Amino acid sequence: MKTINQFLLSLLALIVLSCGSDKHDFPLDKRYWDVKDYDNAARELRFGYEKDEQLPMFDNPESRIIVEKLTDHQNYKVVLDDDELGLKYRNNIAEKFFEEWKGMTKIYLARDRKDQYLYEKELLAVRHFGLGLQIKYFDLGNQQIIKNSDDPNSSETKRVVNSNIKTLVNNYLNYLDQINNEESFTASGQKILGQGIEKYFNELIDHYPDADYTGLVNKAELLLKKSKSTDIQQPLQKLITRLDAKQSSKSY
Amino acid sequence: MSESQIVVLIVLLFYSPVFYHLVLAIKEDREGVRKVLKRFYRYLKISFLCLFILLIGTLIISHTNYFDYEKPIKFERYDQITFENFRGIELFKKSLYGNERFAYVVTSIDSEIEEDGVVVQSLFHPSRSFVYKKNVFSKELLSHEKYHFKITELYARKAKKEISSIEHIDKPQIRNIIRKAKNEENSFQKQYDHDTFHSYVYSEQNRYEKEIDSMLVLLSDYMNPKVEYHEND
Repeated sequence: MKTINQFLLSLLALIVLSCGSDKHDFPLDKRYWDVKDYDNAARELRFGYEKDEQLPMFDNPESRIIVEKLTDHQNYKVVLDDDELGLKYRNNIAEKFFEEWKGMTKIYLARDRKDQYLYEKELLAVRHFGLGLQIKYFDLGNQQIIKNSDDPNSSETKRVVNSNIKTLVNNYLNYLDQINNEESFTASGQKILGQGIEKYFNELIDHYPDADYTGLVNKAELLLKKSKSTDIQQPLQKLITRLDAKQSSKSY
Repeated sequence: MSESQIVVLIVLLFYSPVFYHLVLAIKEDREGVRKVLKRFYRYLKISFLCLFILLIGTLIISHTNYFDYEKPIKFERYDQITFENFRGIELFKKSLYGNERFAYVVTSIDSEIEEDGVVVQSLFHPSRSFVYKKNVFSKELLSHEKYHFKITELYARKAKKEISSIEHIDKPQIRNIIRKAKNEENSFQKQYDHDTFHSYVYSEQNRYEKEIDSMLVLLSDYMNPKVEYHEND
């Protein structure tokens, strides 16, 4: 009878062990996440977590790898920067990444009862991911338009390309809208927000030096007056100074 | 239901006659218990044996598909290899990093020390190589997998080059050269998969292809599998 009991106990243990599986599944050992991985991960993060369950955070050693992977710019760069791949293919992938990113922006929006963001670092990392991605996405789109055009110098082609750049700049302005909610960020969150302005807006201007930044300057000036954080004011001021200098050099 | 749960369910179903007799044993009166227990142990023994045989068979077929066997292919037939030659069965691994459309190739450096020389050749093992679908049309996937075979050939040629430079026949030294080539090949194969991320990083894939092709050309003198001894006394 003892043997039978041992056998039954072992069997029970086997069943219990086999039923235990990770609640959330992310391909963390995968070197690069592709669009499909982003689709699965974003869906899991948006709908797979219970309401009171903590989402992956940079400050949580166990789950930080998930958010690090999610916001790793290499994931899109490895395809979009690969000149040996076809332009149409890269453009297609960029568009898919962009669609996934739009879904990602809804993951970390939760706030507490004082309207403070619960996941400010993660929220901003996702925004930064989108800023980096969009430069590539719009650039590839414009390259495709120029390539497909009979006359790349035609006024119609230039109009479409400039319209795309204008959309890109407007998308960047959305990032600055966060400054209207700066009180929802802690001091360190405001610092990250400011660092985002410094890094990504400079990249945008470097990439499109001749774009029309009038709207950006106006918005930056208004927000500069409104912001109470020096970590945000400083990069805004630098941005305005750079764009003003560009504008004055243009007028000569 | 997860795969492990399915396995547990199969095992439980497999052992259902055993459980049946176990329940009977418990229900039986004391005098009949011994008899029923004996039957129970007999069923247990037989079923364990069957399960063991089934497991061994599964492992063997998973390693080499003897149901659809094709003998190893030499490098001279490299250009003829297609996914039709990938005859292996994959019973356990269902995806590679979540991607169900995957393939893998098994190659080896085969060697034989003979009286007048050493035969070192790279082989592709069709019945151990796997593709998720044989009629898949993916030049990139096939090219990536076939370059694994080229890497094996590259290290076979490197070994032959080193062997041909030996002045006095020394079998342990030859074995050592071949062992070293195999180890280096293994590391290179891993590096290739890592850098190209199984062909996902296209520029890296191209870079490797060019590099491997040029190295093979450089070692084209060692294309012949056999290295003959030219001992200088």
